[in-house]
Amino acid sequence: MTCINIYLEVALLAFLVICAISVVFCRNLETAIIIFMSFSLILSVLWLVLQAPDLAITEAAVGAGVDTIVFFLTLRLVKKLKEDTDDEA
Amino acid sequence: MKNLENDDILKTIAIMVVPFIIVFGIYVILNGHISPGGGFSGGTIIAAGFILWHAAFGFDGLRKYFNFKKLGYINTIALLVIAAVNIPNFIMGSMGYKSIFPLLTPGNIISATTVLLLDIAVGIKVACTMYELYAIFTEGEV
Repeated sequence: MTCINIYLEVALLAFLVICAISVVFCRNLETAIIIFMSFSLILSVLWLVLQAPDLAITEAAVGAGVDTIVFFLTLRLVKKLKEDTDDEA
Repeated sequence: MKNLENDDILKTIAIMVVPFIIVFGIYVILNGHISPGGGFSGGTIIAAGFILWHAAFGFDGLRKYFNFKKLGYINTIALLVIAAVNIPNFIMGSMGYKSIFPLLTPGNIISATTVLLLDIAVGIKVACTMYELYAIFTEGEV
């Protein structure tokens, strides 16, 4: 049982590192937000494997749910702002 | 960005999923002292349900129940409940103060003295604050 847990942890940590690096090198901002959401989701599964279910619930609700929506809203506001300044210029 | 208020897939999924999200949030709040979860996690889950409903059906249906004034009243009452529950512990905590509520069988929902009341108040406050934040971000008002 512990052997399986160790393999699972290593695989999840590898996914975590891959997601974190690809967020930095992503050119499209919407894709970056979606990858960041998957980062949070993998982190919540990792909390569950590390026997912290309380943190897992909070991470799945805040990190993968509300955070992503707030990031998308910010992106929309920034785009609207940029279009307005382009029209004036 | 595309206007999502006429999206049939989003509307159908929201009708099917939102009641379960809100009931799960209430479950997490009520079982906060005997299982993983608590006031903050449950409140965030309930707020996520409201946000999904807002994204699918727009603002007009929710405005009947939550306007700015009502959310302010709910926040204030929840904060006052938190303060009133904690004041005896702050004042008399070091003098061997025991709660007036009895300790019942461990594992029941009504078994901790005032933790359930605190959890409910924190959950209501967190849900209202999260929804208010989202509404101010999208429309500029609640």
